Amino acid sequence: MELSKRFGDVTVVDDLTFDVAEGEVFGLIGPNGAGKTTLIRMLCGLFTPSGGRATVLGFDVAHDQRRIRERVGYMSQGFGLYGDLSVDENLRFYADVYGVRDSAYVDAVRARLGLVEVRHLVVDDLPTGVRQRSALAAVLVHQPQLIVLDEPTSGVDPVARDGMWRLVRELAREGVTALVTTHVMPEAAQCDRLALLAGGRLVAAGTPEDLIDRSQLTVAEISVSSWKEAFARLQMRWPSAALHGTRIHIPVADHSIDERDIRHTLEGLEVRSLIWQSPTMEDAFIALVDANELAVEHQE
Amino acid sequence: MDFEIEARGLVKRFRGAMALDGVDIAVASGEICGVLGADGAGKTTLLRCIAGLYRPDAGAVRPGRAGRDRVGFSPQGFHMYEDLTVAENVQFFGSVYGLDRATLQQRADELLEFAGLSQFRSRLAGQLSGGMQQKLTLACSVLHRPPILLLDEPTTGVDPLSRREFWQLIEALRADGSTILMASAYFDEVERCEKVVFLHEGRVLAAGTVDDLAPAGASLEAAFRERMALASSGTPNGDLG
Repeated sequence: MELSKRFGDVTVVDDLTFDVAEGEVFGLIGPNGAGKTTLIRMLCGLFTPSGGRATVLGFDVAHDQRRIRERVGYMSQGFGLYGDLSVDENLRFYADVYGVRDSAYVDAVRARLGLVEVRHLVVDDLPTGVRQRSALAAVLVHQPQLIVLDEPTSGVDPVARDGMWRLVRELAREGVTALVTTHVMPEAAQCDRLALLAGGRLVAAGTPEDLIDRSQLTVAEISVSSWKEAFARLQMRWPSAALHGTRIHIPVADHSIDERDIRHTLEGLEVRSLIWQSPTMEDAFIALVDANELAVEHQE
Repeated sequence: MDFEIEARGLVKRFRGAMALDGVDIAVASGEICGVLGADGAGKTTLLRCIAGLYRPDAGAVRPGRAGRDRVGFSPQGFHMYEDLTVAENVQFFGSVYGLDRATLQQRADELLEFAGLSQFRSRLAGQLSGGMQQKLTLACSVLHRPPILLLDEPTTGVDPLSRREFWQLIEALRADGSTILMASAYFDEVERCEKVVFLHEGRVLAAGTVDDLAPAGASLEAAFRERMALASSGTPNGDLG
């Protein structure tokens, strides 16, 4: 696909090209405002593209929107359930909308997502993690071939986040393709492949390892006794230094920093460890987005 | 020890359901305390009791209702007026806090500059990106220069770059002497706090420094998951738990 979408004068998705294979868990990442949600809505047949062409499950997003909607399960940000209805009422509603007659299948989805116990409870009274599983159940009742999940783990606690990803993986093994957006980089690193968007454009695409390689970084990871003082000193010297918990990362291109320089900067503090390692997904994300911004400024 | 933020034996029930069941926490002046817990653990209720928005059923909190003007509270989600501009929102919250025009003008300028929002003054709040919205929320909650800040999952839905910028704001406020209590779902954020509390079903499961909770170089995440697994057998959380 090569796709663009303009709202008035604003181009939100600008000539974007990528593909997703069947049964893949494909992640869309990028800064807030990168165009991820707009892209997703075009792919789900909810917005018509302003230019370019894309197919989803073999159907054209500009012309076969109804066929796409029948075969895609879209879970929007905030989950899209009726808060004043029970879990069962929501599932029945979605089943009706999609003309699902097989109530045994709906029951099976409900059981699979662990919702039997809570089926009569009103959605607004449920913990976020259970609400999120109910939302996933609602997009599965019509047996979609593709599920599109927009920030499915936003506001969800760490334990429930794990459960969500296990389910997505399981579904992928059964052949359901998943397109997922996230701001949580350890989650992004679990996807089969990723597309990194910024300003409506594709900055990089590939496996998480590809993106990490593409950043062309090595990272000095430093653990120091008084990390606040250490961080202040290191950041003064290397502005790209960043905190990961209480450890400090200095991303370095082409080994251009000498370890002795770092130790010298930290003189008087107790350095517990200083190791060179590959960047994390978050290091790579920030480096790639920064590099892209520089390139865009240069063009303009 | 002088604690700016404190809860002793804090109990809060909603229609009979126990939301907080005897919670003790204490945050000293100038510290950041991070609260980790599953959904429904009571994090939001705890923050609201401490902010004086809920009256405790038993126990004591500080600052609570009596010290409400000393608190900046940043609730979960986005609560600005989406059809007002950035500047208009700041103006509105400043007048709610009773700031006179000159003071408000000066602080608004400072804070918008500090939050990197100066060039977006005339943009509608509803059209800001998620990261900018969170920074605006934080800026508005500190307009009256409160010594105590309560933040409820302030970086949910915020991209990694904006999250980093947001933390620079937090660190600057801490350097100025603010005392901060923050609920978060991100381990790397909580690791930067002087004090960490694991909250589970309305009780404190564990509290201390990161080194206390995750000794000998173990990650805080591993320690949290282990404690949660031990504690959550029999949680009424659907069948998957």
